[in-house]
Amino acid sequence: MYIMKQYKSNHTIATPRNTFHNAMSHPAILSTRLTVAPVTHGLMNGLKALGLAGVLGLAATPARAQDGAAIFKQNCTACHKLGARMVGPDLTGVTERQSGEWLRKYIRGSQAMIKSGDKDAVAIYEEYNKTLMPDFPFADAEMDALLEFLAGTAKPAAAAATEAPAEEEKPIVFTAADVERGRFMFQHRLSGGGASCITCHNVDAPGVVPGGLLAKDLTNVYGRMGQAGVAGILGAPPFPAMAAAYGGGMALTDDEVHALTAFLQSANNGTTPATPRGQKAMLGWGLGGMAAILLLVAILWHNRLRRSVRHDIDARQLRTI
Amino acid sequence: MNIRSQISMVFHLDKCIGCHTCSIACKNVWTDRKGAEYMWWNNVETKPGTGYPTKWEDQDIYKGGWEKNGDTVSLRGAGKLRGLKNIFHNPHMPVLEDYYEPWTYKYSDLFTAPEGDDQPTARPVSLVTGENIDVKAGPNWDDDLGGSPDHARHDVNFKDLTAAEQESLFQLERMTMFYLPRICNHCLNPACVASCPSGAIYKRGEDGIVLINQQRCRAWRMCVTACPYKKSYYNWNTGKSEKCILCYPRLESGQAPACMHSCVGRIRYLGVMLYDADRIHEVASAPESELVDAQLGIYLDPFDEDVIAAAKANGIADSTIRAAQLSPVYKFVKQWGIALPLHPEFRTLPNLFYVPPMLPAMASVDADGVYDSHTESLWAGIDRSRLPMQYLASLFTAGDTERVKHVLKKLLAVKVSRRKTTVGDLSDEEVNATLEAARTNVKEVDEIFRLTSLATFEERFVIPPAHREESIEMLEDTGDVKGNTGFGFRIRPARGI
Repeated sequence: MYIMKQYKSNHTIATPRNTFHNAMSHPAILSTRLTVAPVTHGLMNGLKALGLAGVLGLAATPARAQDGAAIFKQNCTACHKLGARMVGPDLTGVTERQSGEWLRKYIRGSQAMIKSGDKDAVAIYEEYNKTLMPDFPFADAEMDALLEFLAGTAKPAAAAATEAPAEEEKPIVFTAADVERGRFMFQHRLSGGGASCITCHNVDAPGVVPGGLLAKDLTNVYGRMGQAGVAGILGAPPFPAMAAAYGGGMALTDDEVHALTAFLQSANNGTTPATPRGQKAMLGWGLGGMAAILLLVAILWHNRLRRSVRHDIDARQLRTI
Repeated sequence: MNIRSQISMVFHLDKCIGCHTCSIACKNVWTDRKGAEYMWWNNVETKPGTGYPTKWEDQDIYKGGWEKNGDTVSLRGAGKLRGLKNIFHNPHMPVLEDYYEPWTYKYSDLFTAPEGDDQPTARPVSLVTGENIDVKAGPNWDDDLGGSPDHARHDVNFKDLTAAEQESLFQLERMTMFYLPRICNHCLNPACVASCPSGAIYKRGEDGIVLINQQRCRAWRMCVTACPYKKSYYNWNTGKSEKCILCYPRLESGQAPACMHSCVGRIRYLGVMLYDADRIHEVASAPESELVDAQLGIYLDPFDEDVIAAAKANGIADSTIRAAQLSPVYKFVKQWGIALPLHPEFRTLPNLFYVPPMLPAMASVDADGVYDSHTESLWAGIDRSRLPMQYLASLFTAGDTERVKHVLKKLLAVKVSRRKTTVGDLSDEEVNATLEAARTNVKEVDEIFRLTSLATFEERFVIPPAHREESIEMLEDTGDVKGNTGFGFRIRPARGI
């Protein structure tokens, strides 16, 4: 029922979601967003898939790999790129570096692997600033498609490489106005209805009150992840909590992604704030206030009845037993 | 003049035998419920004693009642500023231990205990927690001077007595006591009503019964503190306060309240009094020495033509005026002046009056230590009463011993006069001297005797027919608001509109 509603209400969902019902059944995937432009409802699925593959320069790969491309685009591009390092490693030809078995295990549960001490997993974790990768519990068919797609990327790497710089060359300019709008958006409910960022995140920046401690401090996130990483995560959050918070029609608009990225760039100052501002002062005020209230209580009700009127009578009678 | 009718009561303490039947009748009818186990809307105390709840008369502890404040009176424990300060923490409230922790016994253990060397026992269990408890107090723990080192000796009314006077009271030969049954006084100037932040307590227009609206009560418990007689109780189960309702459902159907109906000693009288509501403030703020006179003065003569006319103008039914004329309370309190209010210094103008007990000395110990039960006359005069006058004055007249003496002299005159009639061993001079000393006559003492000893049910309880259909008119003039239904003001706000 919920899935059907999603379908109807969200016309920006492109073909792959319609063609892969398995993928729809997983909430993380359900609520992720494609960054492709909205496609009119009536457009034929085949055409759409073709166009998508064309952008990635993969028109020649088999149909199954096209599905893999879609899955890759939908779930991985927030952090990974083909042909370049981003938040995560370049995945071009990753199937040659690691066994299929290892990749499946890693995609489904990288954090568990790091905890269990898998050498390669820990190495990647250390190399990429200890950034955790969310778990993607793909079904076997989807996993096969994804790996097939990744395997295909190794050979026509040149083709991908020629395509990729063209995409990156688009100059992204942040204006002061963008930063200001981002600062406002960070602290307010977003246009799609999603909760404000500050609910869970803290950013140590001028004009921003201390934020939540539920999720990571984002002061220096721009330095860790770069423009593409930040914009990618904002556009299609791969983290379950964020995916749930900004799913179901509450996604950020492109403009919001742009402005918030601009703001996070401006906030990035390279330092690592230990605690949000004012936390110690808050503790001090809290303790001081409590002491003041207790003192007031002691003064206002100094003549209260402290024990039963019968206390002395009962005490004496118990003594005489 | 703003004449209202008030159901009032007289308890004749010389007739009380301390059987607690009234308490049980009340408990069975009204407070045999969860949360109300500890409440005794009617209780019988032994005096001297600390009472229930312990030391309820000591307003230094409980801050109940009114205190004189210049020309007016103010609540001792509540009021605007004090009430606001204490609204979330009322610091002078009695705790459960001050009443007592109600308990029952595990009677089933007597039948279900396994066979053993000892008799099975029924252990006491708390009615509040259900746990086994060690019973430390009950609602009449000081009954018949039980535990007098702790209870009788701590009686609050001993404050004006010297240590020697107090000591003499506890000599075995002089030891004395009497019973003091108490219910809600349904006061004319009720502190509980004044203290309620929710406006849940009200005095019924037609008969002055003070009631707590269980819908509006918000459990602030200011009334528990404010009532100097500690007759407003908090029900821990319902979260509302409760008090004696003077069995108004019984009164409305012409029956006496359960406690009065069941009274074995027939000590209780109930009737209507007419009073001038405009004078309440003036009377409540009278100087302490004039309090009793001022209060008795507020009750009006129901035979006076002016009073009757004013009462009718105020919407009081003819049947109620007739009941006021027949009221035994009017006779005891106004005509004969032998019933006095309990602790008038609390300034709530209680409507329950007590005929003080005589407690005559029937014997004495002479210099040789011989216990002599023969005195020259049967009653050696009220001066030899076993309880000091000051003690009774502390209870009933805010310290005025002369007034207590006068009442006791009159009661003595009734007894002397009746002895002359029935036994005939007293001379006319002796009887006349007693009558004169009491400023009374044979006719009056005969009337007192009749109402005290021979009164029928109908004479003791003169209950006016309930005119519930008219009661609304006494509170508001419905004609004024007819046609204004929904919006508007009956009384324009002072700030204008």
